[in-house]
Amino acid sequence: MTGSFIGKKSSAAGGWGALKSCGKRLLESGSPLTGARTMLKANQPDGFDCPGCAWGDPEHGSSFEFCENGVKAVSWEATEKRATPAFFAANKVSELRKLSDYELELNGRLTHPMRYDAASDRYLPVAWEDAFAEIGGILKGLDGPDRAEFYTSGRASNEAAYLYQLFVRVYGTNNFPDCSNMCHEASGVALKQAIGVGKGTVLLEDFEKADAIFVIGQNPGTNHPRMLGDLRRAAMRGADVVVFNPVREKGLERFSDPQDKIEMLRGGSTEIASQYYQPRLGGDMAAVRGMAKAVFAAEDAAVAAGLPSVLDHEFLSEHCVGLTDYRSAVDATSWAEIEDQSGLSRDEIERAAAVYMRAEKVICTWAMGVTQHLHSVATIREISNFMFLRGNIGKPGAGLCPVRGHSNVQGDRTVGINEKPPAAFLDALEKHFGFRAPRTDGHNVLAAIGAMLDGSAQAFIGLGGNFARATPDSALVETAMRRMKLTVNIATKPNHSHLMPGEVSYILPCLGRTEMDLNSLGNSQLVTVEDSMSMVHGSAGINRPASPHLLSEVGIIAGIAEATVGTDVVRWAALADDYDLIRDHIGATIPGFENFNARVRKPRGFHLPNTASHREWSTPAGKACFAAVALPQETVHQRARKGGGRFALQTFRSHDQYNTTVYGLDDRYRGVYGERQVIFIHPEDLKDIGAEAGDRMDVVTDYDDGISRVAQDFRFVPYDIPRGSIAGYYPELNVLVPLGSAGEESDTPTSKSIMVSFRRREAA
Amino acid sequence: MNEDRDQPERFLSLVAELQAKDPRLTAVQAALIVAAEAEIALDSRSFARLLGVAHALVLRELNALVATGGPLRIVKREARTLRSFYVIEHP
Repeated sequence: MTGSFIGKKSSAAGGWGALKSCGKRLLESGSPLTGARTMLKANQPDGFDCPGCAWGDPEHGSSFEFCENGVKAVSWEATEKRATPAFFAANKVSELRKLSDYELELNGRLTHPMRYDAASDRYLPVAWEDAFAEIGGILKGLDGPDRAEFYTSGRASNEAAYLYQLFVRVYGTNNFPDCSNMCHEASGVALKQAIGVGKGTVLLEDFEKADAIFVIGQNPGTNHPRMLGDLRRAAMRGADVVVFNPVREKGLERFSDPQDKIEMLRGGSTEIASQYYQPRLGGDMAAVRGMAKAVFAAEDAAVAAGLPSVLDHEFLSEHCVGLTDYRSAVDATSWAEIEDQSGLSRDEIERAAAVYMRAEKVICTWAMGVTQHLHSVATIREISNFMFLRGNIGKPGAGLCPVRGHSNVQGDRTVGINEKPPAAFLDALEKHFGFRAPRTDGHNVLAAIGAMLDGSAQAFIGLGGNFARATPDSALVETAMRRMKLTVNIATKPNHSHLMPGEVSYILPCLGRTEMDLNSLGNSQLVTVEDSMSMVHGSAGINRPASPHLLSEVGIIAGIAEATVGTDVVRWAALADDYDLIRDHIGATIPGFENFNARVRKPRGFHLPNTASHREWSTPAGKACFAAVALPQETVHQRARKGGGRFALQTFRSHDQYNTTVYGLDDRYRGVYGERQVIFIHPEDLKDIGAEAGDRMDVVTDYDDGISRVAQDFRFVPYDIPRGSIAGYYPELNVLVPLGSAGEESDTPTSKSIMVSFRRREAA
Repeated sequence: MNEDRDQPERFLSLVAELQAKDPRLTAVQAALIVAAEAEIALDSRSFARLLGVAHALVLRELNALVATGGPLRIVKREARTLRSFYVIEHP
């Protein structure tokens, strides 16, 4: 292409130090160097969004290099291994089913669209056109559009998710089970009730200003590692970090920031949590109620002594409703009740409350440890109540922060993946595209599984993810999947959901987030995602696609859509060839996305409007709403201790894992290596059941619906966890989570509160 | 000192010259080739640091260049950072 054109080589690279200025000029528009193609690329974000977690990102596009789990996610996708048609030819589906999730994904990236052949029990390669035609034909032939379920994983980009919801609504249903149903649904429901918007109110910058940060039911070291950097910086400048987590997590106690090279070289670390409390599973609401009780007591004492008020009365009177009822509910809750349910002492709770009262600006973060209980919505309302007391919302350095898991789970909901879409959104779609959108509420995950089990659902389309392994009651879900007329899984690697074929089944391989997505003109396409702080930013892959036969998620959706609903309403192929056009449609139908294409190309993108963050309340009362509810009469751990040998189980991730993707068999923070079938248990509880460290037993669910749920052959690991509470990894333990056990108002599986007992192996 | 001051301009003129020869090259791709030819930078990370360009952007341009048959060949890639080492190959 070039030949040797330079002539004399430089004697030393050091002399080229002044080149730094060139980089900017190379990228600047208007430079004599920049042709049209260069301009296009230079205006794009400087990299891809990490396919891992949804934590905010100050230097978007480069931080993946420094986050251990982000690197794992990127390396996992960039593997050299390939699951080619030869791999599927060599392995029957029934044989592949014997592999673990880890072993299955180790076979690498999918390379061709595949169709299941029942006669040979194998997947065979198929042409894209044929796949789209058959899928479209089957969808058109169902008894009605509500007979199909359209699942979305939180990895799908805004563009893919928007096109997907548009296709599904043109097709005629709102059946959108999605992964947020299994994680932060409770946060969305509770925050919508409390502050009028179902998202957090803080920006990353607020973590630099907070005096105290309360981290509840969350393990950032494994699940949101970049958050530890922000907590560490906060701790170093003197902010208090108060942790509530039943399990003692090393990552929350001390942290070495990989970005601090000197600290890493010296083997140093920074203490993060100034206070670490270990409530029992499901005891967070009681702990927060206790802190509120301490705040009210301090308020009463201050008033009596003629001292300044502890409460923010200005905020409370101007912005809140329901304080009086809430105060009554708190007064009616005894310390005995609080201590018993939380598992914490009054002294511990009062010490945590003292941190809250000392701080002018407080952030409260939480994750699945709060959201996957029967009373999750009530707990998040309680957290909101507590934060209202001192006006800790809608001011710099303060606010509510549900920390999302998958990188675009929040964005998918924003762009329309919602089984109960707001009427205004459907109105906008109808007006803009000129079709009648379905108005009946659709299915969430639990309703979809129910419909699949009772036969009313006939087709399942999965946009990413591993539905059958991520969902509760894995065995029931497998039965349900195999009853489908059609299953379609859009994926990057083989997983167990592909091994439960219905009558007709397809695996459709797509590009990964890290790969270049070139359109027909050879231009690299940009997608966008929204992080936990409601920042929308761009992402463009840097690697060559794993196979020339891959399509983007957008391309696959467009292909299925065209074959199913035709092109009368939407020209799908044109949108798939230019994602800017999709963003134009998003801008025209969703508030906050105006001028989307220009704004997303700015560094860090842009912030979606969040009314509560500037103290506007889109609630029916027009104010922030206190909730005055009693504590649950009994949590699972309280019920469990009534019968001998019963425990409250929580499922969680290992450090070598992201959602259902298992990168390896180690969990180094918890000291477990080479095995995943383990149960973490208090040493005294272990003695009580007559077992020792390393013994193996079956775990049996105690749930009153007549279904036997057993996880076989799990090894005990003594651990620093409250008595009566135990923990182990999902997806292996999802077999124990009953489908019928779901959060009130949210339908989130209660994966952090399952009553179980143990059974000796020989008795199995 | 003078030589140092002139080097950026010389570098940019070489990049422009290369782009003129092959209009398919982006500025960063042409710069990668110039930097490799001059042995200024033979890995993506060094190139990114030297020119003050985001490493992710350099990786994208490098991969695009390699994918379209450019004169660079990747010889090693670090798993953790994706830092890519390459050599220049003349036809």
